[in-house]
Amino acid sequence: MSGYVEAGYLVVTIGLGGYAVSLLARQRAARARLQPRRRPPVEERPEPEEKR
Amino acid sequence: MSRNRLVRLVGALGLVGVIATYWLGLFVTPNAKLFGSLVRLLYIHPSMAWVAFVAYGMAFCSSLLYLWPRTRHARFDRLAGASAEVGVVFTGLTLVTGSIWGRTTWGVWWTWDPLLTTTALLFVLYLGYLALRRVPGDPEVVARRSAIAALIAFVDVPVVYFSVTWWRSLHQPPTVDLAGRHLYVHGIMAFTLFLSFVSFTLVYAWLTAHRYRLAALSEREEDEGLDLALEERRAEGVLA
Amino acid sequence: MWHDAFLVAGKDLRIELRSKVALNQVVPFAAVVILLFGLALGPNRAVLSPAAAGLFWVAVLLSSVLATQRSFAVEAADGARDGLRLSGLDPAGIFLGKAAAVAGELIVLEALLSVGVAVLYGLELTGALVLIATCLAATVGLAAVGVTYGAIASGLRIKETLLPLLFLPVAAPVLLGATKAWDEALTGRPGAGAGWLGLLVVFAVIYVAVGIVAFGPLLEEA
Repeated sequence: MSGYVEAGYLVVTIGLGGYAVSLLARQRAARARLQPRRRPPVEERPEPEEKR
Repeated sequence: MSRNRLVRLVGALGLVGVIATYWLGLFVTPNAKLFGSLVRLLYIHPSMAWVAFVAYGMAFCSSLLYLWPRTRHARFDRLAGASAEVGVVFTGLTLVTGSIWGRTTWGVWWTWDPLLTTTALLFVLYLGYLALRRVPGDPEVVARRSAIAALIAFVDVPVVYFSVTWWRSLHQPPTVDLAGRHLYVHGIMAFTLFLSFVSFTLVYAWLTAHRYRLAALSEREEDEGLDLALEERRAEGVLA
Repeated sequence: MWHDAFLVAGKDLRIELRSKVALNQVVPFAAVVILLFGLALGPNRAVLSPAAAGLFWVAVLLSSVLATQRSFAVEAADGARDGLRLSGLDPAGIFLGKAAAVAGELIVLEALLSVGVAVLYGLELTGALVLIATCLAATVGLAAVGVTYGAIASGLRIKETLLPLLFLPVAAPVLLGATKAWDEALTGRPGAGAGWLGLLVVFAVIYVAVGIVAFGPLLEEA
């Protein structure tokens, strides 16, 4: 093999893989930003106190 | 939830298909007489271009559906945006792999080959479309002007292709690409080629579904952000 | 529709006649571009004159971006856009009128610029009929695409940077076709440019049609 072929496969893998990972990460971030708003902040506070 | 599972299934199939394509393409298929191991680029380059065109076609169709008053729905706008963005990624990969192909067969990184030139113009055309989509504004207004821009861009594709082909063929007979494109493929090679088309199309579907989901999430985020701000203002009012 | 187009074109051209922005800014800009090409490629006429057609059309393309921006800057001032929307004129007519005005300005620019190119690049303008026909067809196409995209970009705050990015790739076939047709005419084979002229006409027809259909929805938006 010539190295060019591998480079081609590598570029495709990195390109698509990188894009997929970035999409998933951005989705996670968006979900994380949405989630706390769903629950009112009052309910979240007692939890750490109970663990103590 | 069933839609969620479908997306996952498509993603898994696409991943398996791509891995199989890589394995077949890199290790199983024989070298071609004329191109040696370079023929292995054939299993990734045309499928990139194919997916890019599918993506733009999808963006065009959903833009049409959005513009048609009876089927106007935000989901078509999201789908158009998602599909076009994935299409741009695949177009970029088409250019890079095509350039590698050109480097190895013709000795240059770039030739003003009709297909390559058309693809490059498409790339900048849709970069502009994505830039337009990113301009903030009233969602409905953004959606409408994006849909019209997608229409204009897609109508341009055949015109660009035709003119660029003509432009080149008047100058020099495209003997090189005849050798490059009309390659005789058979047996395992044909199967690998076919598999690459199918699996990269599946990958496209998975990516588009996720991009669509991201668009829906961020739209909801904006809506809820507004609601939240309103609530906070109201709460302040009550306290005072 | 035609009557409305006539009104809008008349309005735009009257504004241009009074303000002379295209004459005082866009034409000199095109001249600067032509001069810069000369500087970039060196004073060698053997290099300049074969490339002249292409350089001329690149200059026209860049100028048409400016002309389009000007055409919508006129509407942005004093709420003229709302006035246009409330006027009850047919959107297709407004589109045709604005496109006609831009096309008219560009034709004048091309006439002046071709003289400049002929002088600066040492060119003999042969095959005048094909040259003029090419100018007409290409300009109609450019104006149609430009005005449609101008309407898309006109409501935006960042239109100055966005419009060229949207417009220029779409206009690439015009550059190709017009350059080729001019090349053929200038090298003494005006007949060979007919195919390219056909392409330009097809392009113009397509985008005039798209503009007529799309302008209504575009104008509705805030």
